[in-house]
Amino acid sequence: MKNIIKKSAMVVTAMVTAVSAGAFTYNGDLLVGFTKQSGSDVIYDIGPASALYEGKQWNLNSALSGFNLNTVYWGVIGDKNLAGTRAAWNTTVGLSVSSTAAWGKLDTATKSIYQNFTVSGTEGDLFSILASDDNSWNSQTIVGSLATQFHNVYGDPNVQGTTSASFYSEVANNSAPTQLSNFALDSGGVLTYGVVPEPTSAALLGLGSLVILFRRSSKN
Amino acid sequence: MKINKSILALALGLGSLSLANAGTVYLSGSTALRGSVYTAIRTAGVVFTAVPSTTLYDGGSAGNNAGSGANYMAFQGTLVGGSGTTTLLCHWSGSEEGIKDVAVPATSETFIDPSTLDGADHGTNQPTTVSHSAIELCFADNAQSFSKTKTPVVTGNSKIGVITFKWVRNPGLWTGTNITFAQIRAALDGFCKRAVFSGSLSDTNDYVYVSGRSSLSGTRVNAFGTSGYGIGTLPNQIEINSGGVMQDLDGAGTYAGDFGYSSGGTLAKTLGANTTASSDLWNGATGFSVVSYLSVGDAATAIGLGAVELTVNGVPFSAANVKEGTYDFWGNAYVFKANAVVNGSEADTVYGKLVVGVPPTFNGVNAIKLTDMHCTRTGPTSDPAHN
Repeated sequence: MKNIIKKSAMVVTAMVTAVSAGAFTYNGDLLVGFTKQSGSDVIYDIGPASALYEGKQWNLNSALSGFNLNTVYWGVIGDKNLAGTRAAWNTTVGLSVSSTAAWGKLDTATKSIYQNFTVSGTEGDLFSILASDDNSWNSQTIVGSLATQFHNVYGDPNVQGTTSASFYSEVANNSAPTQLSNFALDSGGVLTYGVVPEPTSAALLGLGSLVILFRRSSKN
Repeated sequence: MKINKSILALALGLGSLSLANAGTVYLSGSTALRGSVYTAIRTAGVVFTAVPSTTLYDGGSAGNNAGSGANYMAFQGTLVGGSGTTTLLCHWSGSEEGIKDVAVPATSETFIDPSTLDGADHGTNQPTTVSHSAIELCFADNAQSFSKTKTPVVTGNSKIGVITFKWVRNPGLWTGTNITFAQIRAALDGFCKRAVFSGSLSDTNDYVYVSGRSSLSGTRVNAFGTSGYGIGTLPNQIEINSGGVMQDLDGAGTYAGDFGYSSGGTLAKTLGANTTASSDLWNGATGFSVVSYLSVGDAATAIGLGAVELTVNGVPFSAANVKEGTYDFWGNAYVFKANAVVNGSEADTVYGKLVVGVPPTFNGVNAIKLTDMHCTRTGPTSDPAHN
C-alpha cells in the first residue's frame, strides 16, 4: 500500500512538473529541426552561432531513432539581438532581412518554436512535438498556413536526407547574406558544422608543425 | 440481486449524503464571462434556492464595490434540490488557466479562505487569507481543442453561448478607427511602424504596439486566433501604466515580449492614457500608439477613459453583425467539468444548473445565446458559417 501511495505521489509529482514547467525566453541559440511530416518532430538546441567552429559535431543518433535519415527534412534557424544589431542565421534560405520589422517576424516564428522546450533550452536540450502543431518544425518551416510561421515570413530552411546544407547569416539592414559554412547530416545521425579535417590531413599538419619546431630549435 | 439492491441503496444514500452534508465547490476560468455567471448565481432559484450570501474581493476601483467584476467570489446557500449550506468558491483566473485547471488533476488555484467569508464586498482589496484547491468547474471563451491544454481531454463540457470582444486604441499618435487582421499581426510582432496603420509615408518614426492579456486569457486566444496570428504564437506585447509610461516587464529592461495582463479590467484602465509624448523604450522614439483587445464590458471601461473603439476589417461591432457573422471577433463560451467530478455530486449539480442557468443572463451584446445566433464557428481559427 505504501508503495502504491509512493508511486502515486511520484506520478502526481511528475505530472505537476511536466505541466508547470514554463516556457523559456528565447536566448538566440540555433535550433536544428527534423520532421517526417507526420508523427512527431524533434527540435534540438545546438547552442549559439558564436560557439560554432569548423568540425563541431552533435551526435543526434538516439534523438533521431524514429526517423529515416534518407528522407527526413531538416534545417537550422536562429536569431539574436546583438546589442542593437539584429542578426539571423539559417540553412538554405539565405535571403536578405530588410528591416527590424522583417527580423521581428523571424524572431516571432523562432521563439514560438522555442517556447516548447520544457528544460533549460540550452545546447544539447531537445523536445519532440506533434508535426501537426502550429509550432512544430513541420508547420513552422514547411506547411503551416499562418502568416506568422517561419516559411511564410522568410522561407523554408530544410534539406532532405543525409546531405549538406549551406549556412548563412544575415543582418536586419537589407545587406546581402553571408554564407558562413554548411551543416551536414550523416547516416549515423551525426550533424557536423563545416568541414571535419581528414585524419591524414591532420596528421600531415601535425608533422609539418613538428618539423618547423625542430628546425627552429636547431637554429637556436 | 439483494446485493445489487444494497449497492444501489448505498449509492443513493451516499448521493443524498453528499448533498445533505453540503460542502464546497470550486470554479475558475473566463473573466469575460464572470459577470454573466455572477448574475446567474445570484438569481434565486437558478443555482441556490435564495440569493446566496456573497463575499467579493479584488475588483472594481478604489472606493467602489467589486460587484460582478471581482476576481475572487464566494457564494453560500442551499442548492436548488439540496439541503444544508453549499459554498461555491470562484477565482476568475482566465479561460486558458481554467481549462488547464480542470484538465490537469494536480493543478490548484487560490481561493478566499472559506473560514473568512463574511458576505461583504471588499472592493479592490485582496483576500486577507486564502486557501488552495483543485478545480472542479470552469468557464472558458473557447473549446478545449483550441486551447493550449488540449490533453487530457475534459469530457464533461457544454457550449452555452457566444462571447463577444472588441479592438480599441488609446489616444496615441495613430488616430484611425479601423484595424485589419494584417495590422494586428504586424503590431503583435512589436516592430510595426505607424505607417502600416496610417498609410502615410511620413509615419515611419514611431510604432503601434499591442497591450494585451497574458497567455492564460481566452480573450487572447480569440484575438490571436481570429486575426491569424496563431493561438500559440508568442507576441511582443507592451504594457503601459495609466500615465502612458511604457513598463519594464521583467525588471531587466524588457519592454515587450510574451507578457500581458491577467485581468481585462486592469488592462482597460490603462488604455485611456495619452502616449503621444511618451518615450518609446522598446524601439526608441518619442510617442507611440497602443491597440488592445477586450471583452465588450472591459472595452466600455476603456472607452470611458478615453480609448477609441475600432471597427475590425471595416465592420463595426454590433449584436446583429456578430449574429450574422460579418463581425469576426467573438468566441464560443463553454462550461467544463473536471473528469474527476462524480455524477450526482454537488459539483456535478452546480455544473448542471450553470449550463441551464447562465445563458438566460446573456444580454445579447456582451454575450449572445446560441439560439439567437445565425452563424456558427468551431473555434477562433475558423470563419463563421451562416446557418
